[in-house]
Amino acid sequence: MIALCVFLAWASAFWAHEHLQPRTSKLLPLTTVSKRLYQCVRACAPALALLLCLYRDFEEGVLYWLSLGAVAGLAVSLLMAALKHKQSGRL
Amino acid sequence: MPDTARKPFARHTAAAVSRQSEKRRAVYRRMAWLAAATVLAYLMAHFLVMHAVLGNGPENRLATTMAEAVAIALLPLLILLGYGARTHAWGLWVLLVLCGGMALYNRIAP
Amino acid sequence: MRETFRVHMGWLHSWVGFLAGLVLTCIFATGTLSVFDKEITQWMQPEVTLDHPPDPTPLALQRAAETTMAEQEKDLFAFITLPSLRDPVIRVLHYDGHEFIGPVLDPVDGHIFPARATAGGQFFYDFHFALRNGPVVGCTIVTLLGVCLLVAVGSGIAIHIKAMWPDLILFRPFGPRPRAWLDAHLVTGVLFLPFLIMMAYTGTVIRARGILPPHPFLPAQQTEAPPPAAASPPAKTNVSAPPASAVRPPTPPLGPLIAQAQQILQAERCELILFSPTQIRIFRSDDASLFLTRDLVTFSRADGHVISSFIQKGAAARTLELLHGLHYARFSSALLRWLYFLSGLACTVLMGSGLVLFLMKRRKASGQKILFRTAEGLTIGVLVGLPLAITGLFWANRLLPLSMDARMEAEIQVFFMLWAFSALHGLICALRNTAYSGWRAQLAVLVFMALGLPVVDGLTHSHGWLQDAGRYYTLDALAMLSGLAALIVFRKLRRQPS
Repeated sequence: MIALCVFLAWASAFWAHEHLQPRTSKLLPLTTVSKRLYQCVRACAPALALLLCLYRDFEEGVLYWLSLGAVAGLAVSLLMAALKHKQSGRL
Repeated sequence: MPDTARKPFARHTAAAVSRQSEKRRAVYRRMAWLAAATVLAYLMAHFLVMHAVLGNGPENRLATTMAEAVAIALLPLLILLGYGARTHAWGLWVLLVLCGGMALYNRIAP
Repeated sequence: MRETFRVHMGWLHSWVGFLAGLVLTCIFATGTLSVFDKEITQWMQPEVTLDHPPDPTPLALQRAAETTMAEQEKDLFAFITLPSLRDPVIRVLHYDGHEFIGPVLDPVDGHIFPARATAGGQFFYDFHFALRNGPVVGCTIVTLLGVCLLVAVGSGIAIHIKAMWPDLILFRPFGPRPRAWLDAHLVTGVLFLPFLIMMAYTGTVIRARGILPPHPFLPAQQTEAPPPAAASPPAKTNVSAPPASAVRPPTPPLGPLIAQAQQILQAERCELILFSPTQIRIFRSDDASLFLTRDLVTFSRADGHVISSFIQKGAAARTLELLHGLHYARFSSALLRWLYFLSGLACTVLMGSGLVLFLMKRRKASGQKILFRTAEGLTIGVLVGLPLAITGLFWANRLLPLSMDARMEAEIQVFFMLWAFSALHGLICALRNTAYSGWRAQLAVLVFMALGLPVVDGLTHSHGWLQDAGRYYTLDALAMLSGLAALIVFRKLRRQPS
């Protein structure tokens, strides 16, 4: 359960990061409020994920944090690629 | 009409040959630079390990292994420093000075 | 020609990455499989049932001790591994120069399972750390390649550092081919960079002595003290047992000794039991923590009293234990092992995509040169040939007769023959300027073999599918996924002009 929460926290951070990039904001424009929200998520979600990992297992917590983060990043990357392809296909 | 079509064929071939030989020379220079950086970085790593052996005695495996861990961490960084820092070859000079210093230190104060 | 910092680093990254990457891809792929070496061994020995509690009975321990003595009578340095959650059987192992092999015992009554002779997952472990070339030559080559990997990673960071943050998860698989491959290389490289650096560094440190010997090269550097004699490691050496004619004392019951060792070491479980003529040494379990210790208790073989205990303390010792623990990954947590496996796969994809990119970038300028074609042939041998050989090993495990002489060697020969044939075929196709047909032909065979592995597993009736079948479903499912991935690549290649 904690692993799933860590994965989702990282995924949301990567999602926010990608949405803040100029190439994505051209396709999917952001309001000022959502921009601030994404910046907050991008900063806080990994920190929350680290706390959860250290709570689960102090010794191996950092390993869980890094590897779940990497896997989440890969998942979001693939999802974003598919979404952008679909979006650019519609335009 | 493309610009190259107006130039004489011989001049175009000569330019291409000269570009190729210039590229080949650049590659050989890089290989030599990399070889020099690798040798100096390796020597530095070796002197670091020897410093631990000379300082702690050869039977102190733990100290030697820790020195190996530090040396392996530094080895690729030193190679990249020696190879990458090309202005006046300061990377290679830094490695040379470090190597020399370490060798002297091992000799004087084991 | 522009002589900028990025161009220089790019040249270093490309050439060191490609030349070392041809072997490093194999090292990383086999290392990834080694994360589940015990589970692979269990798949390859379906005769061994695993539905036992991991605590061995006194009868089983007695039988294990007797089996160990019998192995030592044959001049083999045999030792016992106790059951664990991952591997709930007793194994009496000896080192044959490549793998640890030996009989498998039931932890309830100590009977020996009629398990087929196989190298199991240990084969991949041996290939990973020594390229099956022994602890001197093989390990030295792997350690040197580890340094090359660190140099390639460093130069890669230097090239990509400016775009690392904005392009963190940028992936354009539907764009132009070179861009798609480059994005795949960058995404896997950046996201799994901590794992990559950690594994490259710890792996190189473990065998650092092979490339940084702790003795001077020149006589002028000699000290007054003589060079140290090579210290024999406490476990897992190829030391032959005392001659059979030597009288061996009877072994005291192991159960109380194990309990005592657990108490002294403050460990939940112990794993390894080594025997010498006068001593019994019991080691803490590797999966006890992240730190891979070699803490042990030594007992007298005559009457079982405690002689000594060795518990290494201190910051330096703990640091080294941590470095070993991070690399060997003998964790008890299945999730962490799966994360290691996925990270290893991603790093293998990183290296494979790097090899493909190297060829793509140079095809236009150098595609007709013989060196380029050789490089392409070798790349086919690595990227398709190695997975082909691995699936071939699993096919051989199921199809070779159980009672065959030198069965284990035969399985390994199948692996190397398939790989050699794949590399040869790749080279011939590339040199004849038909590299695309080489890629397609080998991918087609890989699709057939990977998707066929679960079918072979089912048709050979080696095991049941209802009880104690998790290991079969997992490996067969992974084989199917590999087959499907190969099928997707094969179909993409068919659509493209040669």
